[in-house]
Amino acid sequence: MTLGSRYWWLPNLSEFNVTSERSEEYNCFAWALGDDSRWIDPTADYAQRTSNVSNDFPIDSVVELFLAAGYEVCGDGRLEDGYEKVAIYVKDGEATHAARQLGDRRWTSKLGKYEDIEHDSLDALNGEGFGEYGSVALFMVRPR
Amino acid sequence: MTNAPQTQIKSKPTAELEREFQELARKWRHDTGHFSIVSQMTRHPAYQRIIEMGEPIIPIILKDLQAQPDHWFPALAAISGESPPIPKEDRGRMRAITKIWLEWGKAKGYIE
Repeated sequence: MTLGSRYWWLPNLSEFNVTSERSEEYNCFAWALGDDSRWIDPTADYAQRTSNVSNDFPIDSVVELFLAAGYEVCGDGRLEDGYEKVAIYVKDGEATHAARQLGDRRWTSKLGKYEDIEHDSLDALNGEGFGEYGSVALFMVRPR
Repeated sequence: MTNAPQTQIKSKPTAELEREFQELARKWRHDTGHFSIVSQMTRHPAYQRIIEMGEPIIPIILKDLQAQPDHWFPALAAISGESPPIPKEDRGRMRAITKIWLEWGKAKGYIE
């Protein structure tokens, strides 16, 4: 199996490194927060807290997750000394993925139940087709 | 409306049910394995079809869970109408939640 077919939902991905084993234990939102022990589904938590069973606020819930971890919304994904950023991907009005900036301008992403990868650009994960992540709609930042 | 297909499925031999489940699970895992939001995974038609298979599929789902943790908890809850309590400290911990559902399955007699 080639990497291309393994990551079929990332048709633009070319420059990347696989940096972990596959794991069902944690997902992109946990990994963006530096946690590899839990599957964090902000929409489910949000639905429970607000009694909103329809998950109508999928982006709000993701923003709330990162706000609670000390992040605030910022304008871009440029590397800034002393700060770490996350990028939130949205497709069809729903959050789909989060990537965390590394200290060398690269980004790290946990791909659902698959591996962590490090990728040079955020655009590499863009895609509007079936099952793809959409594109970055929001950046958030906190002090390192 | 859901009674008709469930009655049909109940009469299917276990091996046939298991084959159907494996095919649907393979399709679901292929199409949604890279998702992080559970509701986006569970709205997939293959997952919904598994839920429609009703109670006879519960032991097969639990057997799959014994082999590997996965997001079958919403399906089990939807089919059974039950949801064993998950302690706050175990929320999001796939192995711990899997263990709780397997214990539920044993207590209900779905698996040994």
